[in-house]
Amino acid sequence: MNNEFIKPPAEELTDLPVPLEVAKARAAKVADKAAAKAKAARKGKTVLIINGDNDIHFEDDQSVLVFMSAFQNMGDEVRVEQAKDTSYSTWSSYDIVVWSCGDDYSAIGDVNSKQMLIDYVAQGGRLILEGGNIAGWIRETGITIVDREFQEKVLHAERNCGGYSCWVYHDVGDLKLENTHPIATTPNILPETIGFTPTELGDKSGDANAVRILPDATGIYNWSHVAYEGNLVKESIASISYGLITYESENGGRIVYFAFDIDDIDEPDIQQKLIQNSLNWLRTTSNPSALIISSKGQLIDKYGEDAFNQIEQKINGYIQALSNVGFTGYLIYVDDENCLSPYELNPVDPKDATKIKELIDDLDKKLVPNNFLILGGHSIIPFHIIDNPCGDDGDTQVYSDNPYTSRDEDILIPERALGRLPDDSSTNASFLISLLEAITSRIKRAKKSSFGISAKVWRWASESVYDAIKSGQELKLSPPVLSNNLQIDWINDKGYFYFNVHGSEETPNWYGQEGSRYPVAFSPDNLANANVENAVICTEACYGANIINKSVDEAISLKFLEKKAACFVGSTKIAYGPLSPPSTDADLIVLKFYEHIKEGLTFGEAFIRAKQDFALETIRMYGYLDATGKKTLLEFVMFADPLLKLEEIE
Amino acid sequence: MTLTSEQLKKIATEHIKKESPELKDVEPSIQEEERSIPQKVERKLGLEHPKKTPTNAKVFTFKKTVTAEDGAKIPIVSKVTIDENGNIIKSTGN
Repeated sequence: MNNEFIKPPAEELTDLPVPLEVAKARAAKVADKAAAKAKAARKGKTVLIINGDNDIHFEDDQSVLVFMSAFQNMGDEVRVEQAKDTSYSTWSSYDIVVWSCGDDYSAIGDVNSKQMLIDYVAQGGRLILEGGNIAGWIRETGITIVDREFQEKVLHAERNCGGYSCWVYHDVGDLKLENTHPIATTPNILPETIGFTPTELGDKSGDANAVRILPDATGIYNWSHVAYEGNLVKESIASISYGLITYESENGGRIVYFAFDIDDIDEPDIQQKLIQNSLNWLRTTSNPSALIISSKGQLIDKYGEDAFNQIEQKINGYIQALSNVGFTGYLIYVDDENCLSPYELNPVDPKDATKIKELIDDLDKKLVPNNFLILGGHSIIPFHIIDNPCGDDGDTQVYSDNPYTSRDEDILIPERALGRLPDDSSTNASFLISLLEAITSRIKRAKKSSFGISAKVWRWASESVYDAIKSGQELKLSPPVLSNNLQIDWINDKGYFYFNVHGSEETPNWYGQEGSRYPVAFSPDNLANANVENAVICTEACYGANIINKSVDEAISLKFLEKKAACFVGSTKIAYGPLSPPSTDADLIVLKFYEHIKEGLTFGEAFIRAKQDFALETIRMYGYLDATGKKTLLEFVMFADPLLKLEEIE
Repeated sequence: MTLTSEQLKKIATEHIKKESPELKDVEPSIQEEERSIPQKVERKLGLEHPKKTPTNAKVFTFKKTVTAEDGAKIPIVSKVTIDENGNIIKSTGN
């Protein structure tokens, strides 16, 4: 290399500077390019944490560290800025913005910070706001238009309580779950009571606020008690004063507002889970999606290429229908490289339930879908076959979808909203195609009237469950009600069905019982001329959801679906229940499912919550999860699109 | 007071005679069941791990097959869970 010259030769240069406007334009282009590169590099899972805790209690300032730890554990890139230094123009580069005030009593006191947050949420930003006295401080000191806008548009705090400015209380108990919400359940199930211990007690604590909210926000957790000067606040006020609040705007913006110092939650594990759930909700619900899982090879083997093409056409119609209501549907054939290579995943053996579960776990991490639909019965996507926890009751194994619903090796407690659309044993695809056509229609309206039938010996236990759905018709008992004297107007046009009867692995029928008499109480023939469109059915019959090698006419479950019922819940094997209340085992899981359906949850959400509630109540009753409890969790399956819900009509 | 297996079996059998007389002549099988919760289940449900060592209970299973009016074979099973002091913790059946 020639090092003779340290600068260009003089004869090549002029003394004319680059024109100013050219120099400026070039400098601006360079800056834009750098910013775009930086934004692209940060795009995806990046979080900006703004430390707004400016008070003097430094020893209690752990909130930012809690957030950093949670996000880094999830693999997110994190940047921390001080509130006084942050620049609003950079916020759009981040996936999520966290404004953390901890226990700062005079939280977000300056107008600039408030305006930045107002603008951010107005632009559809996704925000976690944390602080024990944000609402309280603005209530005490906020008098300007910006203050009012901040209260309404960012905190969604009610200002006007019957003519006076709503009081924000500080003296609170533990956080108490008030409303079902994904933040309380997904991906971690949070306790109904979250222990909370403020660093400073009393009415001037900066550790927590009990906030009354506007109707456009949702209160998730309120407080186990709210007090002032040592006396309890009225329950009617306390019950509507929240600690954990969410808001969802029409332009896709989301806010999670922790009206408390997060590091005062007793359990560090719960702190982390709450942040993880919040992040999950902020990220996933802005683009809700469903994963449709099937096997191309198994469908073609069973039905042939022509029928497979028809099935795919119907699946595409279903995905379009999802798109029309704001959902993205991802069709995944577990054995098809073309489907999986975009996600850098490999096909698996479609007969291997364990491998399919692992694939679902990988897809869950990449796509973070809200719902999962298995398309096909056992011959397309297999049930898991699990050793019977009860050991010696006549079933050596249990057929279950539970492992598909869990994010880890535990197979008992579901975490995913999952349903199955089964096919039958026939090589004619018309049944499966009809089910796909049915779920393409997204509105499921049915009357709230009900039909229920119980073996006579279980009358009192059944009444306890049937009460959850009873409307217009008493519970039928078998005997005397039999399949051959059951009147069609008892079952026509009903929205809810409940069966607590015997079942058999050999026959399609369900049976009553009185003493040692076991008459046929219900058969597929009873549905031949019935209108059960959009109905929700729960059965406690043994083998009630057994579809292995069954045609439509050989399984009441499939018959209901053929007749366009919207949802069928039942057991694949011998199911258990009590002779009399309180409800346990199958009675309890069905009761919980119906309670959640009546609350208006989707089928998938209701089913997860039913199993979680079932497990918690069983443990509460007995101190542990016994073998029949475990079998109940495993054997109950749902044949439905988990995204659908029942809309009751009179 | 800890009862013997025979004493516990007598309690279970008397209970079944009353509640499910169709099983009154059935000889039960007996299993030990630890009264604990799997740790992964505790974590998912947000439960605290109990400080006490779990105790065991005995589960008495009575089962037979009956014939329904259409000729189908139906399994009839009842389980009675009893603690070492003879308290019936749970009774369930299909």
